[in-house]
Amino acid sequence: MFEQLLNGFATALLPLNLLIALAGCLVGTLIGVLPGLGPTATLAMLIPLVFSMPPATALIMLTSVYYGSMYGGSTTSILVNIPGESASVITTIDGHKMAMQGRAGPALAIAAIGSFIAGTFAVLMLTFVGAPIARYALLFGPAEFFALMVFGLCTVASLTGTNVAKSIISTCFGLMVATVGIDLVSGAARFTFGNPFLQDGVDFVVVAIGMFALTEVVITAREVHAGTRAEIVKADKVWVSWSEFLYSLPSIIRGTVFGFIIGMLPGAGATLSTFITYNLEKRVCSHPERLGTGDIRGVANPESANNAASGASLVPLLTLGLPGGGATAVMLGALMMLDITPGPLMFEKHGAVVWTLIASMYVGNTMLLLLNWPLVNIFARVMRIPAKFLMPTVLVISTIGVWSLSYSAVDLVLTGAAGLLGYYMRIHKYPVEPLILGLILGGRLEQAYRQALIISKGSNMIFLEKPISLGLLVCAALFLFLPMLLKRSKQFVAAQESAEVA
Amino acid sequence: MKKIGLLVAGLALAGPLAIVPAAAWEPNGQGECIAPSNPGGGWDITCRTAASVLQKTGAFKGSIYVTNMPGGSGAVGIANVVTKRKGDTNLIVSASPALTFTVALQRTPYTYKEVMPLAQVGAEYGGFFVTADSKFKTLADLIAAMKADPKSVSFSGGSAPGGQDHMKVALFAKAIGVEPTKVVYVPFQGGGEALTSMLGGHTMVAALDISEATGQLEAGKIRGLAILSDKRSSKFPDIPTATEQGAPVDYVIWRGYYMAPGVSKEAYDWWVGTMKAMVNTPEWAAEREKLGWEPVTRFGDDFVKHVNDEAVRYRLLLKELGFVK
Repeated sequence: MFEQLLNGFATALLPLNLLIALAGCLVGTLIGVLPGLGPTATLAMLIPLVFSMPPATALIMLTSVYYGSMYGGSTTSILVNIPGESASVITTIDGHKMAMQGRAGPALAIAAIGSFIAGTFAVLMLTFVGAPIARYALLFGPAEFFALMVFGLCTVASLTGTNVAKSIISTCFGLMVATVGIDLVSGAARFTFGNPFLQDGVDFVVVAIGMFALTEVVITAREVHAGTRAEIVKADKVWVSWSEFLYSLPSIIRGTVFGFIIGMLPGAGATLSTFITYNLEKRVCSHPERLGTGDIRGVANPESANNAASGASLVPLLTLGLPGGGATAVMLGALMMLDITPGPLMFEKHGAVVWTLIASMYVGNTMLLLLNWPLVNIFARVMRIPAKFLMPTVLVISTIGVWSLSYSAVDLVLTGAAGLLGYYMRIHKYPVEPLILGLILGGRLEQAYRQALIISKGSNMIFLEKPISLGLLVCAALFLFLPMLLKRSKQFVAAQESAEVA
Repeated sequence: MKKIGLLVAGLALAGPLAIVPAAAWEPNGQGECIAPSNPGGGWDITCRTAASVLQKTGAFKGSIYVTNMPGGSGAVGIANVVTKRKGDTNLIVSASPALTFTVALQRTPYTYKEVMPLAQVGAEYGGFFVTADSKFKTLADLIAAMKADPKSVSFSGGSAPGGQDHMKVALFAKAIGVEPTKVVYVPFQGGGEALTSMLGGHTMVAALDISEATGQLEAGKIRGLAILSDKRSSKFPDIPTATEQGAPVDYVIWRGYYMAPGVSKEAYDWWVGTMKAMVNTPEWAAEREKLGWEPVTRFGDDFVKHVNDEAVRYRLLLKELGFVK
């Protein structure tokens, strides 16, 4: 195996392939920075290019672009409060606050470092224990998925902290928007108003850009006009300090491990992993009250999680030939075009290419870390651009991002509507993140629930009969109710004590 | 008339420039293939493969670019072509039975009658697959179990009910005399997920296209119970057809193209001839093998009749299943 891996490195380190990897990382980073274009869309756009390349080179290009866009996704989250892709929604919470406090540099840097650690961990796991651990992905059927997503949704209540009722309202609204489109189970068109564009549902990007980008632009404009805009603190350093690194290292490790475990389940993906790990982080770290106020761990944790998860999603694909969702499905298409049939025999039949691919993942991760060193410096300067120049640019780029999804005016109208709603929500202090999570998970949640019911012939007991699903549902209930019960009992004890004193 | 006369005279006078008479219609300028899906999807591959072979073999003189127009399983594409691209002789649009379902389910106001179906350049067969250690050793075991209790078997497929993979199951049930609405069909997003669910033991039988099952078949992780066609697959000739095993199902997933309405007869005939020539080139054969398509073709009127019949047949079946009124 080591020999094959070394051969892989020999190919991946050829000057031409290194150049391709560098170009791929750069392009990927830039595209990842643009809101609207996530890793999946980016890979899909590159598929045509793959046609004319030798397999190893083509795969190196695809992986480096994929990795690059995963690294780049956090940049706009931090700088302008607009997630570059769905897995970076959580990063906005602490990341943008850090940028406003003049710490954009360290935020960007820790995102790159966390991504490097997580990405490398995922490839190491793929190299040494791939196939055995990939089998655990098979344990997850519809019932288990449903339970996992319920668990994910239960975390939003405590996500942004302030008002649980508002978080729940926001989540439910997201779930409602997720019902638009052709219903996967009955085939009926729901809330489409006869418009073929709506048959495929509302894309998360459309809503996210409306709620984050448009709202941010309007609010900034209002603040600038009224002269109430908070002064952005001048940045004094661009790289992260040793003590900050040590402070966030435990969060990076937790993000990496949980991100990897969740990311390996087909279809669960990087986004869900960031929500779940961030919430776990809130329970286990020291000084959890600092999270959400511009804590560097609030960037390190989800960014590690999403990179570990996207690396992990390749494990079942490459070892067992099982595609997960999103980007891995595109990867599968690319492999087939290169005449490589993904399956359990891939290492035997196309060993040289697969090991080159794995070697190029190590190379890509290292290259991105080195690339981010100067890039952080450049990106951090974005914070110095006056709002009157920055915001119109954001508006234009976001609009192009939405348009590029399916070249549909309907999407633009929906973005506008989402912007209005987002503005209302910001003014009235409804958190936006739960809505986005509801929208992302809603379709899958409903689908898994109904798939499970078809299998069980209508009996809800299936969720309690399967041990994994039962375990996850119990955890979800504990997450939701334990804090309340603890609070109650504390109040109760306190009340009794005060009564005794009296 | 006078003007034409003058023009002819002018051309004659132009002499050397007009010596070669334009024997037949030839496309002029750039060609375009609309793929009504995202890049990397089935329709996208159908477009890109034809575009690359037609250019490589010189059958099309200019370049052919591919436009992706995703939305509504082909509904967005066909609406655009019918309303905005009338008479465009340089345009082809990729299609497959997935579009027939969009038409049969009336998810678009248009049908194959509003466009000009051009050619079927290849086909894929579907089949039923189980894990290597499944209790269903042959299709006969599956048929026996279904007849005893249709609800005791769960199928997974990569399409919504009323879509491609569900039809495989419904047609099979009909062929063995089981009420199709009684069959337990679990829909997944794409064949990959349907396969994963079957491998994990959450569903018993996966209804897939052969290309989706190839990797696992080669590794011996799954077993093919039946190929749903009247011929065996050229790649896996060991798997018997359903027809051989007493369940006559002929369900071929064709890959082809249609043209915009109002295209002149000369242009249409040129494209039919070009497609006929294309499928016989070694370049095409190589691509076809790679994609796992069978060399089953239809052209021109033959193809027009096929897709229209198919739309009627599926519509009746969908009505029977309660998906359309």
